[in-house]
Amino acid sequence: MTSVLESLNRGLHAAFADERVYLIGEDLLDPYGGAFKVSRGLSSQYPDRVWTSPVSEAAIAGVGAGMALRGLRPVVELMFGDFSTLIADQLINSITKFPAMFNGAANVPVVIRTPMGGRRGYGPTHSQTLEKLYLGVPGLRVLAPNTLSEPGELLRRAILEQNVPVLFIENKVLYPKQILDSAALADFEIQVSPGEFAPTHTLRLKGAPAPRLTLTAYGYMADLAREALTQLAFQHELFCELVVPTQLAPLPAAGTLEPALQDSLQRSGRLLTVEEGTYSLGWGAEQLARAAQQLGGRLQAARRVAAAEAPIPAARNLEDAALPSVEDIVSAAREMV
Amino acid sequence: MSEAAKTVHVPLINPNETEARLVGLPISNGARVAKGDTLATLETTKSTFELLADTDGFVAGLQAKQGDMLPAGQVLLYLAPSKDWQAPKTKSETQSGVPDGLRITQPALQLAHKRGIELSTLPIGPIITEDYIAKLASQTGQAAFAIPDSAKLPNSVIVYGGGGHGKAVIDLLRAAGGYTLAGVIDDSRQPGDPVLDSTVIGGEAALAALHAAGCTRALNAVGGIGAMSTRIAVFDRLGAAGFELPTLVHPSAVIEPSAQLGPGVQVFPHAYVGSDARVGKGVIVNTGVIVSHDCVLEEYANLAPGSILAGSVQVGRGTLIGMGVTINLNVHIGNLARIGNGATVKDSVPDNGVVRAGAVWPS
Amino acid sequence: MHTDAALYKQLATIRQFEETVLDAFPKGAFYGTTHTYIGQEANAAGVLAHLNDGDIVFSNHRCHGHFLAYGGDARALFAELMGKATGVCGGIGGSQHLHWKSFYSNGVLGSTAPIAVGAALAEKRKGSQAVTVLFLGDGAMGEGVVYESLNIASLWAAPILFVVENNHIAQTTPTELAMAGSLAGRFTAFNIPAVELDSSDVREINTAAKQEFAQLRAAPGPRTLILHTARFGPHSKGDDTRDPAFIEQLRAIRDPLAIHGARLQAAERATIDAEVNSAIAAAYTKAAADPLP
Repeated sequence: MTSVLESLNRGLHAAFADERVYLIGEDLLDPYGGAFKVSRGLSSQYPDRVWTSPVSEAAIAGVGAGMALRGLRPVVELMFGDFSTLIADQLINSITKFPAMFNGAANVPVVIRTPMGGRRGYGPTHSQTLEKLYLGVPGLRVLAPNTLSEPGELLRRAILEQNVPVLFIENKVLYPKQILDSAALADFEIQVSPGEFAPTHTLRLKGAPAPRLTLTAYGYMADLAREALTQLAFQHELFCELVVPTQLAPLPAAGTLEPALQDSLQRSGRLLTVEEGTYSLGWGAEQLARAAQQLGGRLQAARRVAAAEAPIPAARNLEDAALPSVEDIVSAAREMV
Repeated sequence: MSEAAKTVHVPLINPNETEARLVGLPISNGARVAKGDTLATLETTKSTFELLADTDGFVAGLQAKQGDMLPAGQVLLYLAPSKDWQAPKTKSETQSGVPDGLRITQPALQLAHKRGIELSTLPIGPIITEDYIAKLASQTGQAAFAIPDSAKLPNSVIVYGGGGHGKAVIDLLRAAGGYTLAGVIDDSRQPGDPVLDSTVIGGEAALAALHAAGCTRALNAVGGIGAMSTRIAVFDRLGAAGFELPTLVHPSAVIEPSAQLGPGVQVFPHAYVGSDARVGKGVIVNTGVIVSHDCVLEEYANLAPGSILAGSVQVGRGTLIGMGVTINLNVHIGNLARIGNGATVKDSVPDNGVVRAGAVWPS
Repeated sequence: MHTDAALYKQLATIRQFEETVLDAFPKGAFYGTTHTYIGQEANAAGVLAHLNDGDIVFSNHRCHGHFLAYGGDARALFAELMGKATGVCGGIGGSQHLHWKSFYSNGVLGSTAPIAVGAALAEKRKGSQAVTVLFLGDGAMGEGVVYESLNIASLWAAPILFVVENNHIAQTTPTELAMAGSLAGRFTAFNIPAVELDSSDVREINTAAKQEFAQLRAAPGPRTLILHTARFGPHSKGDDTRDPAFIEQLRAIRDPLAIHGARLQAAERATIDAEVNSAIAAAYTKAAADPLP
């Protein structure tokens, strides 16, 4: 069994075999190895390619962009996803603009990694799930690993095989979680659609009747949605499928749904999206809009489960109440059928 | 629970890691530990942590195994004041008794219990739903029913038959005491139909499930006035299903100490059973009946209210004695005979004999 | 490229290009916006004359002069401003967003600073000997990311030359309303040496830049050349709030073409002017005839 943290760390180590790979970020040096330890061991092994930086998020994002423009494969670590706001200009007006703005003559293959998410009591500015702010920025690939496949492999490939900028979202609660092996998933029938680059998993319980609802969730919320799916089946006989993408953006052109999600919806006719970002104007809303567009009248029910639209409180009970839970997913699903 | 047990949670060892791996577990359920003993060794990516008992006690409710990843805040175990303290049931224990590999939903599990469907007969593989169980039950000709919780009580009893005699039996049961009525079995009524303050559980199909649920006693309240065979058939069914037949005597009845009452005998208010009388299995001695000394009543005989038997009368198996009938000393009445209301019987009646109401026998 | 004639030709090319743009804009030849370099030509011509093959230039919204001095094609630049398929970026970038070879520009002030530092560091790591030039204006000094970038450039010894063109006005706001303290001090505070020059003489600028490049190539690490200069034209087009008399005065004393042109023989200068004018006219005509994307 490997934890998500170990997997990401291995993925970085594997990527570093390529001399074009650099890591820039705050507090990277061993023995600390980054605030969440994902970068542990790299500075010892590759001291000239791991650059611990000042607290200058915008600058390190830009430095990464400049290095990428000149043929290197930099990885930028932002200590907290909340601080992605500080790189918004670099991301939106330079990193993602150059490839298209320069008419295809420039690539900016920088990977910006950052932990997101709450449930740790870190309070309003260290607990948010902000990737929604960057979804829909043209030219930005947003990836969010989960426990269904190797996050480290996704990261390694994002660093070495992508010619577009990547925002790599790591939910911080995922770090200690084990990557699920076949024994842990023995109860499920799983389809993997490889996608262009990042896999999408469709889960259904083995031997279950036809699904009446499709859940879709990514990152850590996929774990909660999987638990909800099991409860819905065994406690309430509401059988669902769960579609878990690792790529949040870009979505298919022409406003269509991802094929795996579309297939599932053809079977179930109902869509419940689950995200840790805030409720309105987010990832789930986009999925629901596409579902409505594609299924029209065959979409019988549509709903979102998401975070409260308020700062995330530090107090445990308040934080728990503000963020979506298994119970929230279960009750939303039951109201839809 | 005289004293409260102390709950021991999985500690949050490192604020950046919400789970820890259980790498050492020197104790097991029932073990006695002293304050300061190591209960478990937990490991995060950064450190190893010894979890120590902060009180003396007995380990209870431990379910984690070595190697498990445990979320901080989860209950690891209880330190109980005594060895036999019962830990609260966890979610994972609610499906206990389910055969290995069987995948069954909670609603289906409940229905299977209610319908008395043996879990071991269910297929392994597909998820068993409530619908599946309902279809299975209907294929085996069973009507829907629910096993009430009261059926699981150690002194529970059911009443078979929800008609007039059923009501009388229910009241008799209450007056006699000692049993808890789980409900009524009636093949011609719907589950949930009221009978006095009780309800119909189901029909014959429910017997096995009731018995399986721990309700092993039954009262036959099918009087058999119309057809004694119906009453006897109920006894056969109850017997086949393994039910015991409690004997009930109303507190206002008088039973001489030398009289013997068989299983399933029902003695109603103000009845009298005299010295050395032998009352067979399942006999009804109804309100105000007088059974004098040395009478022998074979099994399933039904003595209607106000009938009077003189000494040493013999009544055959399944014979019906009507209301107000009087039977003279030493008269022998055969099996499955029917004596109409108000008849006077002075001599023997053969098997299957019928004496009209108001008649004097022999006429 | 360092002869007086060559330097003059560079100045004249930029001037003629920018005047053509300003002249043709009201006629509807161009779409969008432009930021003219008129008055500042000596900076681009003087500094970029020292580029080696592979050296990198990061420019800003006022990039036409830098692009042409870098060696960019006037027809491709006209075409880009016209939104033609033959434009530098196929019409996608427009006036402020250019990329050709190792020339990059972007219109968000200061945003290029960390990217230029990153590019410089990449070349250093690759061992390519290439240096990077970043053009900033006084306006960009208000952006925080510039200071993050100066800090990192100094910490990590990026082979980069910061060229600050201080034209004393940001859009319509005079520098004294926008900048406290010392301009050079902003760089020296991070241990980045800063040389200041208040001149519109391309030769003086060329000489100062020569020293900077020599130092930069000898001992890689950030350096700064602060060029106090004068913008004759509006920020963009028709949005000049300054007193016309003041601009006339600037033109009289700070015109790089007048200052440097005086060094040439009248005939030689006339020949160059004619060559440049016809080349720019031809470039404009071709671009105008080019297809839309």
